[in-house]
Amino acid sequence: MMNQEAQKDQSVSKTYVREFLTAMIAYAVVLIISVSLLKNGPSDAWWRIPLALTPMIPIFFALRAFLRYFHRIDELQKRIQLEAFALSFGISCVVTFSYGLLEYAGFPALNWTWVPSLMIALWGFGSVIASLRYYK
Amino acid sequence: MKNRLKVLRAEHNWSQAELSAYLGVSRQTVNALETGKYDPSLPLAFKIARLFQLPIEKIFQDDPVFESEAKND
Repeated sequence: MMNQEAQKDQSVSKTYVREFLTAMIAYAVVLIISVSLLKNGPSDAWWRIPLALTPMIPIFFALRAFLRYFHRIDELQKRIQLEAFALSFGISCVVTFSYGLLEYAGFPALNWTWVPSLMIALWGFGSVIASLRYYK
Repeated sequence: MKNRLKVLRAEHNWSQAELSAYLGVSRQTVNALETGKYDPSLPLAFKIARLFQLPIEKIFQDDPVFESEAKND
């Protein structure tokens, strides 16, 4: 029983890493193809909008991988994720809102895709900080 | 909150991995419980109590209660 449970705990993380990484590699590939076709293709083609959104398909699989992982982890691991989200949400709000205000002062307008990138980076950072609080 | 998890686990000759398997949590969570860095939810506390066949208050003690009991001893 013990070995099975320990293996289950490990397999939860392994499955998540495998599914998430696969989705993110697929995302990178689809993104490069999509962006290069959009840059070089005709500017009035009807398929530009669906093509621009194709990277969201692997993102959906990455989100599904995370949600599966989240539903299988224990209560402390869930709490760590919650604290990481709270930190990410708070700092992202402050940073993006501050930058929005700075745009009034003449700072260049940035692409919205930076927002989730910032949130995900801070979520990873928050996971490390929260893990250290409980696991160190 | 203080607890006697580490002592109870030692009495049963269980490793952290074994206890984590019995409780259905990760080994790191057992470690965080033992070091008092994390207080378990009520369902997990009951599960721990059932496993050791002890009332919850014999395993977990609120700090002020624990201190006043120590004074009375």
